[in-house]
Amino acid sequence: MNERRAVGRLDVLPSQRPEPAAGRQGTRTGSADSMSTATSPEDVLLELADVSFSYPSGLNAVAGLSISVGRGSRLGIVGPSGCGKSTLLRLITDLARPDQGRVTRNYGSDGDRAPVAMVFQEDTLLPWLTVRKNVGYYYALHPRLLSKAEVNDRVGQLLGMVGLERFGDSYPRELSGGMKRRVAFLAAIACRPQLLLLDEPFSSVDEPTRVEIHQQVRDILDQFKITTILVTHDLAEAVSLMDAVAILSARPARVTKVTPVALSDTSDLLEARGTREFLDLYGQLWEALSHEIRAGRVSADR
Amino acid sequence: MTATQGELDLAAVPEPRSSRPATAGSKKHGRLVIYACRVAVLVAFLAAWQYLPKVSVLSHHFRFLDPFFISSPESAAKAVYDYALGRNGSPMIWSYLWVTVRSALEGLVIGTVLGFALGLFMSSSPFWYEVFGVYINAINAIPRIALVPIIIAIAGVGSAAEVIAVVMMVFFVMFFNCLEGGRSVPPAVLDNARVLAASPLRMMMRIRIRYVSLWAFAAIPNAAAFSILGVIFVEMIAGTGGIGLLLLEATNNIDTTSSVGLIVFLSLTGVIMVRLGELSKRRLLHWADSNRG
Repeated sequence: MNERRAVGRLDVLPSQRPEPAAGRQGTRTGSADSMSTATSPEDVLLELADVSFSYPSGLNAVAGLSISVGRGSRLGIVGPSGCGKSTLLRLITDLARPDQGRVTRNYGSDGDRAPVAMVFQEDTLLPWLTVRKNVGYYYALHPRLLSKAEVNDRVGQLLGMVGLERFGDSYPRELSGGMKRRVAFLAAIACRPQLLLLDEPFSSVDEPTRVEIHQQVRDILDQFKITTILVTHDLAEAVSLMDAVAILSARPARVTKVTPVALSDTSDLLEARGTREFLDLYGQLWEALSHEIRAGRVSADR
Repeated sequence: MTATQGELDLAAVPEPRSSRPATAGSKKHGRLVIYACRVAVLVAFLAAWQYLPKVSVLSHHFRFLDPFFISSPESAAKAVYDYALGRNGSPMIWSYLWVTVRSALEGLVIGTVLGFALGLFMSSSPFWYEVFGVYINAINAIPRIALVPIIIAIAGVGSAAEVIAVVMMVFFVMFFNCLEGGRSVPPAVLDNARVLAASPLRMMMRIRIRYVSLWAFAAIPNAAAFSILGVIFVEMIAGTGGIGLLLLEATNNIDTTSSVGLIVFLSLTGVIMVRLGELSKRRLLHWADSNRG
């Protein structure tokens, strides 16, 4: 049965993925609850236990954060600007080490699958490589994992899924912003990562293009069933793509609320945006996020 | 269609100049304007050089306008012609030029490779730069021109001393540029490679080396100039051969016209070296933004 956990703990496990919104209460108020009962430890892909991190300047970014992510789950993370969302991803990828607490990663090299891949907010495409070579970059770094023919096949398939099959031999400078973001996403997907991290991946793209990309991303994530953590400011993006959305408090970040998300029909995300269930979920997240932003301002004023 | 009051007729708003697409014709027009401006600058310079010294008030007041010290374009052109064909007592310049250019190129290549390699390595290894950087800066501060007589004494009179002198000058130009190039890699690009479990060596050889190459090519004009300077200086001190020897003779004879003629050859050599560098960069680094102007 569901148990109330200590504030700040979030468990997102696929076997407890909530039923579609109709007939289900998707929100919690007050302290964050665990979304599920405990399951077998093997289901946990990533665990952050009581993690804290401060920058050398003394800025306390994360304090006592606990998150447990199960295989196959998709978790969105939203919070006030500067609350430590991107820092959280750096802690997960080991680009930063926690001052306290523990990060347990139950993933590693698995054949030709990358342990982890990330889509950064900034442009990381290599300008001297074609689109095809950028997408297959992981296998250029680790050439013994797959043959060139296998890489080409995989890259070709992925380019076709986002409508970029004609641009395989183009260079990044020849692409629009939306196309570059698609290529960056494909480069992270091509290595079939066990954990995919998305750090505001489409924030630089105009909204109509972003919605179009969301549909392609959703279809790909559904097909390949990749465990995903998405950090975003875009609440609609979190609702469109993820199974659950965690709200972080203002800095130092801790989990304050968890909202399960399950749209009944994801075949047309643009149309889904007009449905009652989408608007309800969006409204709940909006309220929760606004509360954290106000709380953060009050705390800063003291 | 005209706009009624309160409406905005976008068709009536002229396109800003910057948004108009560049046609082949407009690009060609642009190139012609550039060439015309280049010719105009050259003509203006030559005209000033030819006629300002003839204004006695100016040439008496400003020593650098005295024709004795700066010759004239007409005389310099004649000297260039005589050197090119070996006429009127002037030796044919080409064998001398080849001696100078060969040593300059050898030193330029060696200095570039060493500066590139060390700059790439140090940009990837902040620890080793912290250790050795202070010594590199100290050596760089030494006036290397003052070391040339010692180099000649050690390496002997010949091309070896010239190449060593050039390497000493080119290395530091290349090193500091390449160091900065390696540091200019966008942090997110490096972070992405780390997330994908790229080793530091792979990151250096697959990512940093590209940015270092960009900055290395940017240093070519300075490096080329220093390579010629280094060779000429050794040749003038040692009197070994090459253009430096001819310059030494012209200087000893206070023959400004011959000196200017020789300088014209050196300038053209430098321009050709830099141009070859630019063409190589366009081919090797086709992806660089700086290629598109």
